[in-house]
Amino acid sequence: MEREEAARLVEQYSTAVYRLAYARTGNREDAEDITQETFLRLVRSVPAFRDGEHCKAWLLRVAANCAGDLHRSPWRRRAVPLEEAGQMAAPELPEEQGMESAVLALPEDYRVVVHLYYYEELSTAEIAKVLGKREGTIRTRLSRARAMLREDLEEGETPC
Amino acid sequence: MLKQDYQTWMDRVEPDKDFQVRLTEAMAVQPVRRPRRIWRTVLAAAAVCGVLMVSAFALSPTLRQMLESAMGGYTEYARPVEGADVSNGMELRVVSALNSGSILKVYAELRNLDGELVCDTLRMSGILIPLEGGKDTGSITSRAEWVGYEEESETALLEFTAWGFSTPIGDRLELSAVVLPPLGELEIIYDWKIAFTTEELPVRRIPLNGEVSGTPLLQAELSALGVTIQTDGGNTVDAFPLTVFCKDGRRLPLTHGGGGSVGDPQLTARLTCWEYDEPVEPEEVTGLALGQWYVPLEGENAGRGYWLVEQP
Repeated sequence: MEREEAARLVEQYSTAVYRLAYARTGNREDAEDITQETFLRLVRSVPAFRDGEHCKAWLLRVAANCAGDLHRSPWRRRAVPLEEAGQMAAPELPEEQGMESAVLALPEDYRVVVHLYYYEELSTAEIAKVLGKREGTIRTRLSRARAMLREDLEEGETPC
Repeated sequence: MLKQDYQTWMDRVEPDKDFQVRLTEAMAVQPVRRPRRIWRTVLAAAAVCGVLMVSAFALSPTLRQMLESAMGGYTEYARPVEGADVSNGMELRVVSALNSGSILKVYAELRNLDGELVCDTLRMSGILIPLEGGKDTGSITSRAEWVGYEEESETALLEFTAWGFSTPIGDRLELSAVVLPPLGELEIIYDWKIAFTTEELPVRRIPLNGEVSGTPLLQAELSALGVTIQTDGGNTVDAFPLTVFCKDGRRLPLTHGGGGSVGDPQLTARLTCWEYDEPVEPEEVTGLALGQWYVPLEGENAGRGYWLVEQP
């Protein structure tokens, strides 16, 4: 691939892919691995895209799949999940860390849905298409994730 | 509130600049796969709805067009086949086949019954196994390739090819396919075994004599798909370009596909297969040139070979 084209794709989409990967894994190294694998698959596959949004949707879908592959890797199963490590953190967290901790306490499949809904601002129908799931499944995951997040964040609030 | 908090947190998550530079570099040095002709020609492909090349069970109009585009002139030679297997919610269904014995192509569609997308970056592998014939086959060459992908139905179309069977292979075959695990992993999650029946295309088998560069020539098998040359012993004629001479004066260069061997563990012969770009009826062929070694053919007999003065 031409270096200029590679640079353009990285500039345009790598942050979105990296953020999805980080939301799913909660780990910068894993997020980099997933982002790299996603972009190398793009180079190897040469898919035809209608437009930038189509390209972005493809990248997010592959990133979500790559994150699943990473999770299935045997040596990853032996690694300590970040959320467990997160439980050892100090109880008084700044607001953003509270959100991070709460998100990373969600089941992994829920985190991706939350990210695509709240950050990429996709509709549940669009998320269903990206992830290849039924829209009802996405709605259920989103609803449960919201409830879990609210509960977790309310418990973490410090009384005035 | 949740949304705002989430966005505030995620805005701070960014890849390192160094990582982006390394990623750009990795992409720039990565070899780019040649786009398959299916994508270049699919829009121009004419729908030949009346041709019974695929099973009545399968293929949407779009996938059918993709298949026709991939097959080109072989569309009318293809035979519908039926058979399917499900592995972990993924269904692989054979739909069409081209069978000349020593060269075999099977087309199959892959979809996830659970509704998840079939990722076109999955690495597939598959081999074709004769269930009744091909008894003397020692080894073959096989390949699995993505032919097309239909977004609407989230269904992929795949081509499985095998070269080098010891013929006859019979009508009963089995496709054994797997999705290769990601690099560094061993566990195979998806594997399929599909038995099916397919008719063999007409084959013209001609005993050969003489040798090329010390390799004795035993037999030529001509079909509409291509030519397979059987040679004696451990040497092969893989390195030679093959040209076919036709009754109408055409000289057609063929593309080397793969090969196989006969006799295992005692190797007795090798098979080398070349393919046509477009179908050529076996009886149209009047001669073969392996490099510059020309062998005239008539009926089921080969004439005395000789060297051409130049490469055909």
